[in-house]
Amino acid sequence: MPAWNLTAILPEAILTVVGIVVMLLGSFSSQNQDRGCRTVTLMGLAGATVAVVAQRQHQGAFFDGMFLVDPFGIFFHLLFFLIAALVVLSSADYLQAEKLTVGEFYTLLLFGTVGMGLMASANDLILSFIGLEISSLASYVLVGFRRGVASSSESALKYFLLGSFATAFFLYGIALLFGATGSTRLTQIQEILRNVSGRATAGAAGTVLLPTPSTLSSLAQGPEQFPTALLGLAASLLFVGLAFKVSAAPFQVWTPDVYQGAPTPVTAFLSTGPKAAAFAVFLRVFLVGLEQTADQWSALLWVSAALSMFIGNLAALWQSNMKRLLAYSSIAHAGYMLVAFTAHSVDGTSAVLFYLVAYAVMNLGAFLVVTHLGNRGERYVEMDDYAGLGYRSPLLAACLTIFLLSLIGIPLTGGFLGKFYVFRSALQADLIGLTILSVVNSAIAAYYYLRVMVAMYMNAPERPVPLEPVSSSVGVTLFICAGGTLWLGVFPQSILRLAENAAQWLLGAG
Amino acid sequence: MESNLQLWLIPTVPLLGALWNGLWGKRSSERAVASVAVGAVAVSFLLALRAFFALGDAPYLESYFSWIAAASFQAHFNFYLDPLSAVMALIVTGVGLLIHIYAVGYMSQEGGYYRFFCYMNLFLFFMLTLVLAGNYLLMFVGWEGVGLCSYLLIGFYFRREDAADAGKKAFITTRLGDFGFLIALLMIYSTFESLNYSEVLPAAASLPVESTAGPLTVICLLLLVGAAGKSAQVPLYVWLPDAMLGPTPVSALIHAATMVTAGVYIIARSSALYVHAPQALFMVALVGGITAFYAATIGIVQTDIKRILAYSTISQIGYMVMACGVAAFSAAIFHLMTHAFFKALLFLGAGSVIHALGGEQDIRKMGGLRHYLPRTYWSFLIACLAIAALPPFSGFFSKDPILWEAYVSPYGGILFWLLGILTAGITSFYIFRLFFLTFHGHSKTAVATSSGIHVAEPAHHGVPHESPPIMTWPLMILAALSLAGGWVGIPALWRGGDHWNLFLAPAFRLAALPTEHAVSHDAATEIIFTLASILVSVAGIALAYLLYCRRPELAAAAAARLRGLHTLVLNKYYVDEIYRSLFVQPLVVVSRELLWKGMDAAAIDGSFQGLANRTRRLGDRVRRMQSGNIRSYAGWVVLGAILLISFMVGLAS
Repeated sequence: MPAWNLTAILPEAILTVVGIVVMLLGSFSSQNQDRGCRTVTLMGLAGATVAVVAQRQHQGAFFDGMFLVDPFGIFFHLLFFLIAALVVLSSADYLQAEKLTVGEFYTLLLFGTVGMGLMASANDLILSFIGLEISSLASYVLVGFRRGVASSSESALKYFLLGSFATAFFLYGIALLFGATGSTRLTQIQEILRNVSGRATAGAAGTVLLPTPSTLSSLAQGPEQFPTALLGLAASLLFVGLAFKVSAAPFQVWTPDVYQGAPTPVTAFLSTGPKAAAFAVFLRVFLVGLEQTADQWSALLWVSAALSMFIGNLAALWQSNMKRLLAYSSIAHAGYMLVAFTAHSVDGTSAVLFYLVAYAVMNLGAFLVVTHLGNRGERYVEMDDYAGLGYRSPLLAACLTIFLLSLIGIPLTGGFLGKFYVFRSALQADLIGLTILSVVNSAIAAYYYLRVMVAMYMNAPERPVPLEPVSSSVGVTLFICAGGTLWLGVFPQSILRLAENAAQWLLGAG
Repeated sequence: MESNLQLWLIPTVPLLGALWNGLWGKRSSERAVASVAVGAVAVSFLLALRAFFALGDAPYLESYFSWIAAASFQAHFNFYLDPLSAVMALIVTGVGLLIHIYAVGYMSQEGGYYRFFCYMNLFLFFMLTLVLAGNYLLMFVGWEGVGLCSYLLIGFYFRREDAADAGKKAFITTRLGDFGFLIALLMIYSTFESLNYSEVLPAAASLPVESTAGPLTVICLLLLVGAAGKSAQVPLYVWLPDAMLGPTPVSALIHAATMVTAGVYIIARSSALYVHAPQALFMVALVGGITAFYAATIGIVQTDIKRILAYSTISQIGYMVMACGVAAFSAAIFHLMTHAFFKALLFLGAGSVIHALGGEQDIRKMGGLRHYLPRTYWSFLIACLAIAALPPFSGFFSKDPILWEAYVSPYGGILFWLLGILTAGITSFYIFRLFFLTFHGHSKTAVATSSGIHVAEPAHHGVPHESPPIMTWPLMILAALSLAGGWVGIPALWRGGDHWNLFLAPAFRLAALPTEHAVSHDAATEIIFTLASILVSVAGIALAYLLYCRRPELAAAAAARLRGLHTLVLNKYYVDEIYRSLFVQPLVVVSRELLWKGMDAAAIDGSFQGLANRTRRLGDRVRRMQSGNIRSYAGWVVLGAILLISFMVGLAS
């Protein structure tokens, strides 16, 4: 293995090393070293970001084609590091207030990010699986990080049991796909299926196709006939595993409980980071590996997208707990992204990518306000606790308003343009029914976000809710999230171009 | 036109006003807040005036920067000035300025003074963005923004639960329409590869007229859906009457004069598309005509002064939409302008009445107010005569062309004329019913006040009193405009210069009727039609005078005779109830019974929260969980997987 292969995984390597350093730093130093842990973690993320940016000059397939350094992977890496950094910044106060061990928390976050990075770049299903497991294991622990609190441990156990259940589906899917095609490498699977379907159409046309050297090559050891049933089974099993991770219906059941029980910064992380990573795998597996069977799986996506939007939005209407409300909203937003995914086009894929960025920024921001207001022990997370926030803390309320408007999809926010691209790509793919359903859903969704705004600006508080002063790290994060949300709404070009480039690469070069 | 007009300043100044009051208004005096807000609108008005006079023959375009520059999609921040947007900007800032001044007095005893003016200025920012935008996407920004401000202002009296609900109803109903607009916008882009008016409109004009439903027809119908939502047309009108729970200046500015006419504006703006999609144009005329008539009938029996005006607004916008539908775009915008004058005046007058009576809105409890509120009385009378379309009031000059065009236009017909003339009669009847019940007859309030009905604020409202000058001056200016505002468009038939049509002609050049369809003006017929409409209006007033001034017992008798019909109309044809059981109730049932109670664990298992707050021993927890919902969750996953797999395998075999 030549040495330059290692540069391909340099970001992951940096994060792993930094993770270990932070873990040691956390366990050997006194209580007051939180700041040091945080600084090292952020520096590690910055280093990894630099490494990713440098990788743009060294794109290609590495480790025998298992690991790809391509615009698609780079896009996701940058998104993950941004999310991780924002979570690190925003969780400092929380960890201190809850008296949680800082070193372990950041270490797990970093390891989770490593897993996510592997997921985004994996061209081999085995590596996708390993990445998925790394990120999931970190997530399970993070969810149960408030050890003293029953709901946290309960959520962790639930997430762990159901998560393992879903990963088993994913693993079976890999096995069956291997059985059908003889490979676990996505680009190889794509080529094999292309050849087979090419032969099948040629055969149907009545031409006897003589074996040529290329079809006899190692790549084409695929089956003689298109293994439709086996592929369908494999696709549906892979779908179950991935739909679970992005919390798409009908595999969303765990989401509200886990999101509610997890420490709020972890919920913020789960709803943006691992979700985006699962989308990366989702897109790679289905748009590259299973490209030839798009007619079949797009029907699955259609149904799942519609269900996710309806279940998420309708169930959110009655929630009074902010974390639960945002959990259902996160199911609905997964639904919008699946709408664009269903289009399986360059525009659809770039819409998913842009939406992931917009959603990450606005959702992290919204959760940060929830974290801050929740106070010690997450006591104030009911919607009633937001009553009158508009007068007691105008800036905090203004930030939350920006995030909510973006989640509704009001113009000049990232959320609007995200939805706009989603609808556009769906319409271009002639998914008229699905577009109308998503439009109706966006109208319904406005209702529950507005409830929060009504509470903030139009209700008088029923019980006294203490307000802690906003620390500098929380302030900076809020500023980044709110500014980013507006920035994406007014100057979306740069991110959009990256997303488009990544999507083109995935669909064109794959 | 060489000079740089800096159009962006027109909306930005109110935005700065909104920011100023939003950030520092809480600590400022009412006087300071009002100066900032009114000053911002005044500056904006002057800038709009300057732009108006700088207007040349060709549309003037200002492009600022590229908003979205993706490979497959382009959009810019640009503003567009032509006679249409210039007139709209003048109406918005001019009427907006008068209403702001009025509100300085009206809102002075309400709480949240700075908040009110912050939202009002913000509204003007979005409204001006809407009318000045140079492309459909930027227009959509304004379009959504005004919806948001409307929501904030309807729910302004937030201690009233119904006001907050009305705000949400308005927001969500119009949002359904907004998405019609959004999809239309996407289709415009895929058809024309651009969203700029300067490119889309000429391109549309060069397309052949669609004889069967093609892309243009679909785009136009979707735009109509958007317009119906924002402009409260059938079937999406239900939110506007409820929106009257907002403060009265808000009703005047947003829900009468400006925002609700945005639908008319967008149709007029897209006129080049519409005239190439005659089927869509017919639907526009039909929606407008039906709305005009339908809402007017509801107006006859309502008793809340603001609700009557709300239905009247819906009906009058129906007129404008119908005018667009018969391709009389400049007549539609003319009526939009005069309506902005007299309807704002009616609302502000109603506000003055409500103010004088300490919050009373039921016209059955009013009467004889002309003695107490002389200035309000006279200005209100002028507004009533204007809306009843009597010459020489402005409404006459703007409504008459609509009726005439409805008959002679190649897109019109006798049906639309009939709808129009019937509505005209009903309109003059219900508006004078309102007028006579409020200002004439016995003073019921004097009796009521002496017996101490207004216990809420006895100190302020012993006897009905005229509003302060800061509120009556805007009334008088609007009264002058309601009288004379129509004179700019006196047609050639009445020895006028037809200035209005000539002025607006460049904006609708691309929507000009093909010459073979040119309307032949038969002066004799036109005079007969005009006399007919005047006659109908007078008849309406006379009937109202008879029933509510001379012989009040006749009105009661008529209501009793037509009890069934009366109840039906009084309950607004039960449309709200029908919508609720058709659309809202199923959603509520599914979300509450199935998803919330059925699937959401926290709802069924109320102990979750309690448990979460207590620390229990691990054994307890695990036991509960084993018997708890984790198995049912896994069951859901398995069920989903089975369905999925059988679908995929079934598809394969």
